[in-house]
Amino acid sequence: MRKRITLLFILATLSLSALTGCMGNSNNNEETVTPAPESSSSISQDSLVISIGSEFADGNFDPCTGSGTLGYDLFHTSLLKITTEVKTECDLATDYKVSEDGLIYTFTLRGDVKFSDGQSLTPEDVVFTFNTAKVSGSSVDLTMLEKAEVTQGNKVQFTLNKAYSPFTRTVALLGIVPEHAYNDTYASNPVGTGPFKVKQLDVGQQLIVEPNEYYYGTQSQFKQITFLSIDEETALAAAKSGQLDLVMVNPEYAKETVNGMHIVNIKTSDNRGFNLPTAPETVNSAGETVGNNVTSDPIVRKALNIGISRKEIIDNALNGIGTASWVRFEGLPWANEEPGLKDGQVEEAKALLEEAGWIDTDGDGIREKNGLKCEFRITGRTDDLQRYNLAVALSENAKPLGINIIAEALDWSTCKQIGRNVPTCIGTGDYSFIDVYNAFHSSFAGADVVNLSNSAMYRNPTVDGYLDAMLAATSEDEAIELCKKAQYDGTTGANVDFPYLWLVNIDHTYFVRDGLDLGTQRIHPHGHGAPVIQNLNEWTLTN
Amino acid sequence: MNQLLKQAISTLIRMVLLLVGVSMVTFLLVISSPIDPIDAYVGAESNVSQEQRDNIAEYWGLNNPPVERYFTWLSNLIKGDMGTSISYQKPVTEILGSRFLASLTLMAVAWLLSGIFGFLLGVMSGAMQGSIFDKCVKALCFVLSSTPTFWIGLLFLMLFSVVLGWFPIGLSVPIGKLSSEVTLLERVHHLILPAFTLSITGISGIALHTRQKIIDVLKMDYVLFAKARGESKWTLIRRHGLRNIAIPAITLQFASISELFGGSVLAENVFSYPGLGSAASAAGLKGDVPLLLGIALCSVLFVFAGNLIANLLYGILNPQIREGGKLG
Repeated sequence: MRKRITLLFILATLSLSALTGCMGNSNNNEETVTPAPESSSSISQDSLVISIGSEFADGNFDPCTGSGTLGYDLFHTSLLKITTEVKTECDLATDYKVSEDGLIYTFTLRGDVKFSDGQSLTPEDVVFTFNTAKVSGSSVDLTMLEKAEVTQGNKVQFTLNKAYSPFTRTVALLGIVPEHAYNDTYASNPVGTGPFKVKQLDVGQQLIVEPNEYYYGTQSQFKQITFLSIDEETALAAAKSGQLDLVMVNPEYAKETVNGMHIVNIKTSDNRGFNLPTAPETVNSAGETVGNNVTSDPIVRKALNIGISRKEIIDNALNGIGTASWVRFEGLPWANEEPGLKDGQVEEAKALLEEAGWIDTDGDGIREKNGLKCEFRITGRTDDLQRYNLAVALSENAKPLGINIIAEALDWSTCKQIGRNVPTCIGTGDYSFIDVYNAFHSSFAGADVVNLSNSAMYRNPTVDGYLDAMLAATSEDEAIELCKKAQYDGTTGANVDFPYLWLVNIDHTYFVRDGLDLGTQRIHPHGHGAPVIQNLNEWTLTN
Repeated sequence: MNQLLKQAISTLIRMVLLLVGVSMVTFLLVISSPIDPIDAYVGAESNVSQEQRDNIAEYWGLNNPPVERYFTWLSNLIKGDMGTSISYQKPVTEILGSRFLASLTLMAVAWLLSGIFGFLLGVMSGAMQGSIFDKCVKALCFVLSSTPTFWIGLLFLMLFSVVLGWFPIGLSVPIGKLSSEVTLLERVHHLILPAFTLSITGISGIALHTRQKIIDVLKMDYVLFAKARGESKWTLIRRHGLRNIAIPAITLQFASISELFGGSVLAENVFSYPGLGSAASAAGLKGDVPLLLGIALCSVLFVFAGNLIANLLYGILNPQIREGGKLG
């Protein structure tokens, strides 16, 4: 009996003391900590606090396992770099040569580069980087690389197993790591040749970086920059708290206002559109239905492309934020806008359909041809509301044309699985023109292929010819020219065959502190809003 | 002594069986979920070639039959290797180790808060059944128990961090401060809002149950008798009430550990708190099997320990149960 009472008493005291303890602390803090948030970024001008997604606080900065492949590595630089015009130019290399057959790339290294630990960059480091990345089982795709070796002191030679002109892009997007400092913990403790180095990493919370004093380019004006990992839903609240200098937000919030900050919308090459299978329905060897009897009619594809209003779709699905676009590579050097396209031509689209025999005979608002209704399903992945919204908006927009599009939301795996039969909302757009090949080459058009490459099953021998020549090209200019021809060469190409229905390029939206200048931003690639830090070392803050 | 040993062994066996069962179910759920781990890894629409995708699948053993994958994982686990997380590219043990402590602190504080507040509110409103106070508490509890944690979290964040500026907007340490300079006080300051958010849903459950129990107790004959002897209401509750409601309250409190774990996933995400919960959601979204399994095992141990403590406490608090144990 007594024991129990004692125990209860102890429990009660413990809990009470814990309670008062906590209360006491909170009271103390109200007085001592409140002024801190205001002062943290507005008084001291030599530091920045930004929030652009959670990836930076994960502590994976190893280029060999895929960090930086989207072109915004803070800690590393590459042999080549991608300019603001999305061309490549030399960075760690002083020049490079490509052999006639396109199989051998020889880079000459700069001699004056040091890693952030003060040690000099050697050609062995470059070879080590490529060899490590090749076997890392990661998103660094070096399947075209046969071998990398050091030749003549400061030269590195890459031998490819096939001609692959976008190799320059592969090189530009792979940061060089030091062989001497590469170990198991490298991912969270990188030692690179880039403009910044890690000062502290609190995994899952924040990354603090400081300038790398050995960097050979522009030194940052700031002594310290902190990347916060903040949930997307709370990002706006974070912006309003006044503690941050730049916050990435959902474009829906673009109409909000935050004291002391302004909205910056940055254009991207991150497009959204639907594949329109160009082959009629068949069953592949896995027993799956591929192809689509309605979209395989080129007239239907053309009518859709010219008949819908992209602006209306953006207004309805994306609150009007985004850039209407009918080409896949909008904003990139290899985009070809020829022969031009004006959308919203409802009457012309209708006439095209009528002429091709798509006529609404039973008065239900949907056209038919030979007993086939002009009707098909499209999907938007469930984990991305924007895409489903686009699917619904497109469906509404196609109704006046007499084309019935049934929009559905499905999980991404299923969307992909049935994508060669049921068009799905896709998004692409990065800094490598291999995307052009993947979009249109007939080697991906087969009924048994199950990835997103050429999910429109598009076949055009002329286009294939340009794309094959593009891979074999020995200069970027030549390759980009061929990429453009594959889209339209004056008579044929994807721009007049319409294997896809492109709608919009997404904008990246940020709240930025007044006075903070983000420099000249290269068009952002597909992905989240993190690419804004591509030129972090050039940002300036003035009051 | 022999009895005790027997009990310990049977508890251990049950725990191992539970761990195996949970890991199997978790594994099945993850591999049958519509998430392609390669997509999650390289980005859904990247221009990585099919050849490289095959390389990745082979590197991570994603092509092996599920049964083989499970047994590989199990045999490595027995050797102490929990595998490597695909999304973080680090050993799972390292991730769990760094996050467990943060989660434990958060949940312990939230758990204590919800227990104490819930119990006090329950006793008080039960004692004053029908009063304005009671009605308010009841209404509040109903609202709280039907409110999702993340929404409460967002609300608190807007109110206390943005409008009033009393608390930080997230994280467990101050923004941009080196860890060597972070004080204990600052850590506590960062803990309060997430812990309070997490405790909120627990409070209502405990309060409502305690309230009902105390109302029942107050209807008992011995209470009537005590009243007749002239005991005041609060003496009565102290002498007869608390002891009788302690056991259900404790059961409930320890059983709520599982809910706490669920709630922490949401609370940690809202407040960018670097615990197991936020790691669990990241692992789930990326189809990261080893990490998710690791976290599942961790949470099983946690919940199992909670229930075990509740069982042991019964024996200590209630002699009847203790006697029963001896007979059996």
